[in-house]
Amino acid sequence: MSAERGPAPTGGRDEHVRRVRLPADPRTPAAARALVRSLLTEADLAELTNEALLLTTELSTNAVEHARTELDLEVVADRRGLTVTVSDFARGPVEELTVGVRNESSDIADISERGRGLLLVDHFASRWGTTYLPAGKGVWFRLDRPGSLDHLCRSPVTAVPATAVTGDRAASEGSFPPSAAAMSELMQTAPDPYAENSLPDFATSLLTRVAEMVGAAGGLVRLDRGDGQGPQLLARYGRQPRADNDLVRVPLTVHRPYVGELELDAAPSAYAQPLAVLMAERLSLHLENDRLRRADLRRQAWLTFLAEASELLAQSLDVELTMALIPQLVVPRLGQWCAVHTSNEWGQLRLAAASHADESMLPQLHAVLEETGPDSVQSRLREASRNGTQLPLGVPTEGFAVPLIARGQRLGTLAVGRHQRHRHDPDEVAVLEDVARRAALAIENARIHAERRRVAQALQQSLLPPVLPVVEGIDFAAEYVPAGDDADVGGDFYDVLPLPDGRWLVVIGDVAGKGVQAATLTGLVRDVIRTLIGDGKPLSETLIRLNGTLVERGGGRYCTLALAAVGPGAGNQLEVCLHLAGHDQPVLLTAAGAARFVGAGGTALGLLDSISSPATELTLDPGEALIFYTDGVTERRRGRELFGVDRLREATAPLAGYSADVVAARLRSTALGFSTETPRDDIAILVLRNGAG
Amino acid sequence: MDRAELSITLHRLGDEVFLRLAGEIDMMTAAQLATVVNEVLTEPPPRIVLDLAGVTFCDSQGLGTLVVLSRKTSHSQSLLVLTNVAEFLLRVLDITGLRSALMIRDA
Repeated sequence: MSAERGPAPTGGRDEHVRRVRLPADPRTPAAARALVRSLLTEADLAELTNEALLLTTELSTNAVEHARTELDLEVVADRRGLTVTVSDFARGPVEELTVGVRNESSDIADISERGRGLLLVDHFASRWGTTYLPAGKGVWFRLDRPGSLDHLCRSPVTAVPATAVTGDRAASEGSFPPSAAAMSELMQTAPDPYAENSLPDFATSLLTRVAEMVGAAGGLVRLDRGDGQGPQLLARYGRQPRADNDLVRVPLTVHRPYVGELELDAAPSAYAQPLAVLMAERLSLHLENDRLRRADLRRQAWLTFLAEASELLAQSLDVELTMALIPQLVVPRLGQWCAVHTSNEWGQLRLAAASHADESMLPQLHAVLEETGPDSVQSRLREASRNGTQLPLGVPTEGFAVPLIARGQRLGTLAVGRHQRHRHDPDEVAVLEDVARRAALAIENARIHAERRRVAQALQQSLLPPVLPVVEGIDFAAEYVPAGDDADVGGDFYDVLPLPDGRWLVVIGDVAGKGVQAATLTGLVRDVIRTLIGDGKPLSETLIRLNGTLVERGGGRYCTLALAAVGPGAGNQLEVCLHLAGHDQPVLLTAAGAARFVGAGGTALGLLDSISSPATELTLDPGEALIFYTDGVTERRRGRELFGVDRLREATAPLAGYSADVVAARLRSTALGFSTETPRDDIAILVLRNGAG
Repeated sequence: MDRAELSITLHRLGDEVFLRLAGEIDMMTAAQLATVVNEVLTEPPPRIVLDLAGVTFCDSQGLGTLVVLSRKTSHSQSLLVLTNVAEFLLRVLDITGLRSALMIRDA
């Protein structure tokens, strides 16, 4: 002992080291005790005898019983205490070292006879741990002389088993700064890039290395991902760090919502602290990576959700349906419950739809939503709607009130209750606002669509005669079926008007295209015909003038037209003068059931500067009918098949003898029944029949 | 090589069989103790007293043996009583929670 060499952190001369290899034999623990006993005497550490002999026996008994190989015993004693390492040569997977639990039963029948060895090591040792060597594993413990800990534990040396970390030579040198090899191992430890969740393994392996390097008896890494599960143990080494021990604590440098800490049951010595910081930094980098990856995944999931929500909302053109859809989208992904209120022109809110993750809670939710008062959900909703900003709802409902605003219009509010597991994170609040925006647009779109449908219906009605004239001896009947999308005005029209000479003019036409532009053109055609006819112009001139107007004003649109002037002829016959301006030939149906197409084709209007419009003179005997139609009938589709003119002729033949009304109605249902598809084009049918007799 | 030695001497005092132990109890010698106690239990006396005054060492293997022997003794309608337990061994019994499960008689 050379006390003059000063306090011991670096003093290696007062160390006593023994190494011996012992056989796997029941006598080995006693031999190990003898060696330790002699070294204790030599190092003047007799006060540690009981503990040292007991723990040495426990470790060497374990090695003999479990590893069944020779074992190396290393005992290093200095003035402050001793370190004993027992290494075996068992290859293969390292068994888990479990510290048994203290017995709590007083009934001898319940008590295990085994499993106390490490419990005793854990209790008596100042520190203990394991080292994994290429040839096997070692378990070491450190016993400090009572009272020496407080003053001397600043040394990083004390607890480090010499062979475990720094190799044989270091033991005699006394001081054990981390070796380059150990440092490089600490730096080279990396997560398995192919593992599903490599972080716990990576953290454990880092923790194990750093704990071995600083001789920590235990250590752990706690991580709170801020996902509502609280701090979780990410990695653990050795025994649970004891609160009354000197501990190294290093916070992990991760960003919110992650919070974590590294804790080592080791004195914050010269090396322990920086090594722990280094390890924490390395781990934090990977945790940050993990956090960003998870955030990314979550955002991707939200984006998918928003895309799906948008698609669903976009498909719904019905206001009521859209309202009902919104809570179904929100619950339970964004909150436990959801309520949609609509706002009327005075800003009053009315509940439109509500949903709760737990259906049995719905009545309670409705009760809460009906409450009035300064702190009620309703008042918060009103405030959100008035200010046009989202507001948190107070306890106990918790959640958010988000205004529904589209194109500057306040449509109502979206109320979302607290998330099931945790408060809404900023991402979720953003998603909520996005959902509200899309929902508001969908509601507004549905409203506009409904409005447009009303306009289309009104416009359509204005373009068709509300009733057909009733004329002695002439039956008129018409059918009109708008195309599938009832929000559009069709281009088909028909009209029956009196001619100045007492005859009647039947008009059926088809303006190319649909919608408002087609409707204005239809209106134009209809009015020009009425005006010119009213002025007593002949049909051919009327068509030429109309063509001129369309070329000039139609904006490239064109129109097909069938005009038939009908008046009484000889006997009960009707005289018909027929002009077809690019329109399909009408069917002449005789009373006997013969059907044929009649009329000579002319030029469609609005395409060319000059047109031909040959007139065809016809006579209709009593019971004979002239059936006009638009291409909505002949081009009615069943898959690739068209209804066609032949089918039309065949369909009309059996209708001989029926009144104009019946003929038109039957033809309509035959055309519609041809296919299950909704009509792509509008269908107009006009029947002119000699009603005499 | 050093080896653990345990010597056991047997006395009968009235109802009690009195076993005086001297030496160390570990994986080497625990079986020896078990053998002696098992022999006594072939004709179980009301009480078997282990006098540990001469025991200089007892590890967890020794504790396990004491647990097993206490259990066997009570199965045989007998009692295993420890006496003269050294202070350190009492601490070990406290740590492991066995003190209340074993019968220990003050010296």
